[in-house]
Amino acid sequence: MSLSGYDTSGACKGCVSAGIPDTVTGSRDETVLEVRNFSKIYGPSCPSCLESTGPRHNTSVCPKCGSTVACAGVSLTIHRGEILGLVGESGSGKSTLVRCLYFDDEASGGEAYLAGYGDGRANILTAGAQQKRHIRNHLMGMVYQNPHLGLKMYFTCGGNIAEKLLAAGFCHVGRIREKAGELLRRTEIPPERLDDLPAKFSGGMQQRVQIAKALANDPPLLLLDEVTTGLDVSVQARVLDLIRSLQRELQSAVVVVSHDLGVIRLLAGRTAVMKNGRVVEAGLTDQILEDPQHPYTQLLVSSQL
Amino acid sequence: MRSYNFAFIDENAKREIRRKILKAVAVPGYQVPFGSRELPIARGWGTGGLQLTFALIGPEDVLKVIDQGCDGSVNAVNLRNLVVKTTGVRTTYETGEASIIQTRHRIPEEPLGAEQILVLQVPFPDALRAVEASESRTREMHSEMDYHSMWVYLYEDIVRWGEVTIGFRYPVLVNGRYIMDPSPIPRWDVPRLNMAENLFLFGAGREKRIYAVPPHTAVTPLEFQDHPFRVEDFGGQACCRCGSTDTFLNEMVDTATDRKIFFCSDTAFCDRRLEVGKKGETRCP
Amino acid sequence: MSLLLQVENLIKYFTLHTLGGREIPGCLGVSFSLRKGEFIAVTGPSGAGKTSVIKCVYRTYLPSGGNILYRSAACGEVDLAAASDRLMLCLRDREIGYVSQFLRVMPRVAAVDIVAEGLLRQGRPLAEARALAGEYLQRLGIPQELWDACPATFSGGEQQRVNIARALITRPHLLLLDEPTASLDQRARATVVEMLRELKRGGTAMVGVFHDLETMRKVADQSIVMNGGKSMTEQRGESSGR
Repeated sequence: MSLSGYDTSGACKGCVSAGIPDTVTGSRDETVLEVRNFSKIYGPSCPSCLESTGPRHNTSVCPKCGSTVACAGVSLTIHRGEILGLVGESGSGKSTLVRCLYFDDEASGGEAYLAGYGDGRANILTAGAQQKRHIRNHLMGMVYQNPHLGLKMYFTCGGNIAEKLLAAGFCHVGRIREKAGELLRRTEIPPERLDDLPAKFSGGMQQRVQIAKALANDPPLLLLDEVTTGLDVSVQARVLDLIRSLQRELQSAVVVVSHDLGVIRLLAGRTAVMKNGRVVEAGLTDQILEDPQHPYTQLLVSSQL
Repeated sequence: MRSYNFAFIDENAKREIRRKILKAVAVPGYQVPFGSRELPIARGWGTGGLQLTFALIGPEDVLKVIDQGCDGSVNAVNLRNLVVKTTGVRTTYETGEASIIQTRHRIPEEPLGAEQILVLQVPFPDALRAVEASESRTREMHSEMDYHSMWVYLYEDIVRWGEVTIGFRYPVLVNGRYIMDPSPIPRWDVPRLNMAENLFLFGAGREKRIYAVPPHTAVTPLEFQDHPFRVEDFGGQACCRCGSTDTFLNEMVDTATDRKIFFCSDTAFCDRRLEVGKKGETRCP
Repeated sequence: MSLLLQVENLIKYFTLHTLGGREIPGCLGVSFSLRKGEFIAVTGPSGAGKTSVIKCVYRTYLPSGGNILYRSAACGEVDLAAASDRLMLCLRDREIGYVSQFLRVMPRVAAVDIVAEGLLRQGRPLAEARALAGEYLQRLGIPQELWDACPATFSGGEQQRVNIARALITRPHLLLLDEPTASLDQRARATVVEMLRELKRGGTAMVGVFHDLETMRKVADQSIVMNGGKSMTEQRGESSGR
């Protein structure tokens, strides 16, 4: 079949890794992160933890031992240039998942494979502390809901961004400042505020400094945990637009955690819905929103303002 | 002093300290915890250095004790007297003659040899304390070589002041592995830790830590490519006693003339130069 | 010429768990096929299942049964009813366009950037994409002073024209239209018809849901009349056989 007038020479990467042969591009795996059977349990945990919690029981707390099953059996894959939405109510385990992926918390079980670490074949969840730090500094960026978690308020903006650059081996103040200034410009903060303390900034600006910091090492994977929650609606729109244009420009893989379906709709191509620590449904974002399959997703969508 | 053991502390304690010294030498720059003993001087007055000296010293040793480069300062004299009283060893002002030199805040100007040990007194053994208050956190940071917050600290210093303002206790990287506090020596002395002939031992009595820089070990000050480490610059001033322009100078105001005067911090070195100059020789050793 | 799209016995019903698992029919056993450059109109009363058909093709709805065979330029034949999410996203970026009934976009983004976005996703340079977006807005009669404004403040007709420009600009191989001309005036409607005809000449195949039968007849080669989720009749439109 030939369709004249169309550009058919370009690589269709999705098709390739979706298992459809593409004679033009050859095969190339674009998977950035693969999570398999991830679990996180707070508490002593007992053999019946998994079977007695979850959306079917409408609880995350094991009735036998009282442990909280924050995540169980979570599997997902994310590819280059893709935004994956992670949606669910508070306590559904979505933030726990990204925090464990960023090693802020330790996973209880499961595997996670990241492109760029051990050929994508070594489980990052069981890596040593030094390797985990290397992964954090070189392969991931994280933006927290609370800027105080992501920024050191007693360091300048530049110092905060420099932290990532220094960890990646930059040792030239001029070049660090050049790069930090460039990152601030990209995140729409006047570069002359480079040497100001972020404590003096508004919430929206602090979020943008966090994003600049997270992007400092051009990480292939970006984790955004409720980044726009708590911001004014006008600022929220600006941050969302920023994330989307940066993502398109950098082609990084992004996981967006939010309880706000509006945020998910605007940002994510695919979405996974979590409830009581389990992924109850995953699919194209518009399909999740317009044709939800799981009872909980239907409830969530129909409850939207 | 019959009732006291040779070199004051008991042999078991000495053995423990020697074992810790061996460990410190084996892992250059790593802070080894040790059971700091009570001494007849107050903690914070050189007890760390003194315990190292006591653990090392034998009857054949020749001891030199200096405080900020000076053999005659009260602190140096008292420490020297204590060691002499409990050991009876010979002491000297001559750097080249000493087998053990205990010092506070200076490294002698004269290069040391392979047979000499320099014992430094340390008030704050952890260079990371400036950026992290928690001891368990800094231990973790050392173990993981997680040093970027130290670098951010230096970066912020440069941003604020145009250069690194740390004058004493300039952080160094030992053997490409551990960031170490070289004790409050001036920046002038930092380069002499690098690839030296002699062993440097650091003792912090109050903080109960021993660490070491063995001979021929790389010690590099933390620096940025565009802000290289530099030592103190005395603006062409010379020592008012010996006329030296290539030693670390102390600055004082002459109350009679109200003018700044400079003199060598290493008094033994200055005296030697004066002596040599009087004899009509052109160069000092 | 070979088929581009072949829908076989497409079934879609919705299970509403909030209503105790009640099943609502969308479409029941719809079949049709489409060649390159061909236009099929889907008509019928409200609730007949017209939108279900095209949303199933775009995979906004998960089909409950049947096949949607699509001949992709990059990947060969794909059953859209069973394709992976990832493949669907990829096809949406490169081959399959969709004009929705309403414009729902990122707030505070300029109209010209909204129109240009599809081109940027295909990797076209920003300046080029914006210039082309301007051309499309111009043709659809959006005054230049509005290009940098956010469409949220536009009238319904203006928003719909931005929506159309956004989908047409990528020149998809398959274009799905859900009442694209519903809120447009006569002149804008004529422009849209003209642009759709141009796309057809370029080879784009289209499936469109229409209420406005007059506009429909100007572009459609054939039409399916639906009622109660079933396709009742197939008719040849006036632009067929051209």
